[in-house]
Amino acid sequence: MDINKLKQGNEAEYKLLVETYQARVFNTVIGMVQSYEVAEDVAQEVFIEVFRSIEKFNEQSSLSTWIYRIAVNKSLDQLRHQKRQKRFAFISSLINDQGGMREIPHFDHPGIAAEKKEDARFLFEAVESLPDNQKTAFVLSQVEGLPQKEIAEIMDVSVKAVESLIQRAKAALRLKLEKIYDKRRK
Amino acid sequence: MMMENNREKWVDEVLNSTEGMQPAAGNPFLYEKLMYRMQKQTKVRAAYEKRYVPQLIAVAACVLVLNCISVVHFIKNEKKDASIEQGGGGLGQEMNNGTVYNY
Repeated sequence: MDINKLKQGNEAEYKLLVETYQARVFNTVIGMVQSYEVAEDVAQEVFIEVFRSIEKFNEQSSLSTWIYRIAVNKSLDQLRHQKRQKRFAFISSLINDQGGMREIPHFDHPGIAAEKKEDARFLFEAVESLPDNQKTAFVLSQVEGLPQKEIAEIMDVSVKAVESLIQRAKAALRLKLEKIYDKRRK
Repeated sequence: MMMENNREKWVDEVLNSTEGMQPAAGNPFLYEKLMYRMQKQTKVRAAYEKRYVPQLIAVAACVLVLNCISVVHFIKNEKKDASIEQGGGGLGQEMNNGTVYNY
């Protein structure tokens, strides 16, 4: 990928960039936002941001790391926006009393094998409750399958910190899943 | 104990459910969608600039003109006051009615 050509606004190079990174961006974003339609929208925003800020890209990190960073930030922005909307909907439902809040539908990741779909649904439900940094580390590691070194570069933390974030995420998920299991048994 | 084991087994299965997963494939027409979206945004921005920028310039010009008028008016008033003060002193002297400081 010729970064100089990208900085000059070369359309063919930009098309090549989209084709090279779209699967990675989409897979990361869908793991974070857990909705196919929203992920498509966020993936578009990621590439628009890449196109607009390519001039500021100083090549201190690799292009791939930089794009992943934008994808993670855009996904987290989207999740914060959704949280604000949920809060607003909750307050509105208290005022208007029109049937309460809309339940979030269970998310089916399109890449999961059919026999594991139900289990994965519970996993993604639990992932949703993780703090932002644990969620990011877990998605990049388990959904996108990135090595810890690359995750550390994307999140701008040490490899040890990533290791700890993933361990804490797994421990939190275990607790959450145990609660889900108990609830289902009742 | 049995229930504990079942729970642990289920949790492990769920935690490992992402093993062997395939990456989710996005929209194959992403690039075309992107180009359309960016062109649309540029058009909206151009329309916005075309519509509001002249209005903003007109408002800024009005504010500037009003400021100039008030400054000119202020300077004129200052000059007028100064000439009245000068004239008053002259008349006072002529009428032998200067200011008396007897305190």
